[in-house]
Amino acid sequence: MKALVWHGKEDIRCDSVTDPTIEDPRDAIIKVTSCAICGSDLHLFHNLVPAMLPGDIMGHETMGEVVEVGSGIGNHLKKGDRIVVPFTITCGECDQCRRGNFSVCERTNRRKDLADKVFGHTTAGLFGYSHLTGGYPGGQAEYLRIPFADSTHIKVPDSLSDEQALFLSDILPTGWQAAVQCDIEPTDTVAVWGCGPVGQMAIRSAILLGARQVIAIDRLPERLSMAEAAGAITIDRDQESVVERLNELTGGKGPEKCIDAVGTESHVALSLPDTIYDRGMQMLMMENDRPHVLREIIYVCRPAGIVSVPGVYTGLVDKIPLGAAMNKGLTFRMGQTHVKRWTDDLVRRIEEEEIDPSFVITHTAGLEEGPEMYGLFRDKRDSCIKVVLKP
Amino acid sequence: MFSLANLTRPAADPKIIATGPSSLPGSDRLARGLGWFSIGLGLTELLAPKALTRWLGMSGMEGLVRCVGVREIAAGVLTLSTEKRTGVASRIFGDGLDIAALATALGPHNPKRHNAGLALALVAGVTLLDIATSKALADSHARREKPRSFSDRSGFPKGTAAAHGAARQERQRKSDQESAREQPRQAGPHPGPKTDGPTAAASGHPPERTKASEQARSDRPNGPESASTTPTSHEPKLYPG
Repeated sequence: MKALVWHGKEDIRCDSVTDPTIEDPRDAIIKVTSCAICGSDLHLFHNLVPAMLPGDIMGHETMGEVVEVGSGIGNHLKKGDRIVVPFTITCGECDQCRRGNFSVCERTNRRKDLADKVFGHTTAGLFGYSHLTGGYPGGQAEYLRIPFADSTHIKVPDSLSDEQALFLSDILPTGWQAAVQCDIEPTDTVAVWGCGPVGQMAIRSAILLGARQVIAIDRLPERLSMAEAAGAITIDRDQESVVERLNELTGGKGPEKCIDAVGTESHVALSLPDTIYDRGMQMLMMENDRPHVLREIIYVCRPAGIVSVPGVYTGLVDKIPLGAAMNKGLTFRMGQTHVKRWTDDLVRRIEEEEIDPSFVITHTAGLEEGPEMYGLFRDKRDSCIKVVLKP
Repeated sequence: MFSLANLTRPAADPKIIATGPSSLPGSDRLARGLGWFSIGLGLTELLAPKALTRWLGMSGMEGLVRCVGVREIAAGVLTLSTEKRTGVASRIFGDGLDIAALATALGPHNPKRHNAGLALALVAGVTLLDIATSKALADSHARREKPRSFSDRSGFPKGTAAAHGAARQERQRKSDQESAREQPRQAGPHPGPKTDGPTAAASGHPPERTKASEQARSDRPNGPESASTTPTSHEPKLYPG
């Protein structure tokens, strides 16, 4: 089969690889009908996530048709079922899964030994996201083996197109979780840093959850126009001071709820000296992430506010003003998305036309064009916001 | 190379059979080559400055050569990183400094001036390559197209007005229905409206509110100050620190 394979920093190729096979009775194999490139795939592309190895297959936003099931799947899945694959692999039986904390499933990370050493305790296995999370082959391929498939799937109603359903795998529930964990009140201002795909979903989720005003922060006009289309007030960080404008929009008090949908790769600019410092530290391997957005949020967030972090951070960060965060009494909520906690509800919302996540797709291409699409998405050429690949 | 990558795979995982074209454009490959060249040259300058100065007829300038070595290594690291355009620009700047330094060794007083001339020609050639790479990088990564407007992509098929608070209203309706079902069963005094206590906040789910409290909130003037500072009887209690 064809698959997008990581060969090193900025080097992804569409390779011919052997087909996946059933390894465990709880496995299933799907023929991938649609998959997408996620913003967090760019962290792998840039080799910022530790424990990637040449030969790793990329991709964690995937859907398709079941073509083979293991003997232990029972009635959960059958050949021909159309499913979306959550990016977090879940057993559905461990203590964390039973509590709905699916992204920290205790059983599915097959490199638990590594994760235990790095994180203290293991988190769930993820598709195509380094050997720290199991080293599972990803879904930017023609076929995908799904471990623990009886639990790790979302059945898709026929009424939904691939484009409407695909983002249930990650960005829609991620944006939704980011907004839900803000405990949004009707009087709240929610500020969202980063108007990439997850930011766009978080903006719409905050609007659906009834925030009084949603403020979207980015520097790219096409992303800001998409945020504005949903009813957000926009701040172009290249044109105006984020802190000043946020204070102006909130009567000098700052937003109650702040969402960091940027994560590890804050834009580096001469006007933001700390980002240059962070980039230097990254190159010297003295810091993993560039946490400019987190610093800005801690500074501008209203005291007693909530900071929600759906953006991916990978390791150690430097110069976080924890004193300000502590004294202002900020609450931090973060984590990989507990996809299955939200998807039943979100499927219904898509079916009832409350939201149509396909709005975010700007480019559709074949799998063979995947390597080129990574470059296009990274450089934000041709106003690229979201790429869907059709194997 | 494939076999090395395949060796690290668990037995049943897909293995590479044949590889396709890389996402790295030609300009990036060229920059990568220059980056490694920079590091190699820098290490030579740092570790063997005497040999270089002797060959160039610039004895006594070993300190300067070591500094140039450090600069080359830094430029190489930058060129190999994702900030390769800055790296190549720093190489061009360094080439200028090298040309200026080598030019001082071309005078008749230097018996090795032919070697210095050869070095100067090499640096000039590499400078041209750096400039060409810089231009190629700019061409392959630049955002040339005018940004598109996505102002027609709300993502809300029923419109933004209907979307605002739709999820909250739905939760509200469910909460009201539950309250209505439970009321006849209540034997004791009316429990009163639900409030956003710590349990709701900690659950990770948005707290639910009654119609009365929603009404009280929506009645407020729609300004940022008034919305956040006007207390009502339905506000959550303020706890002293």
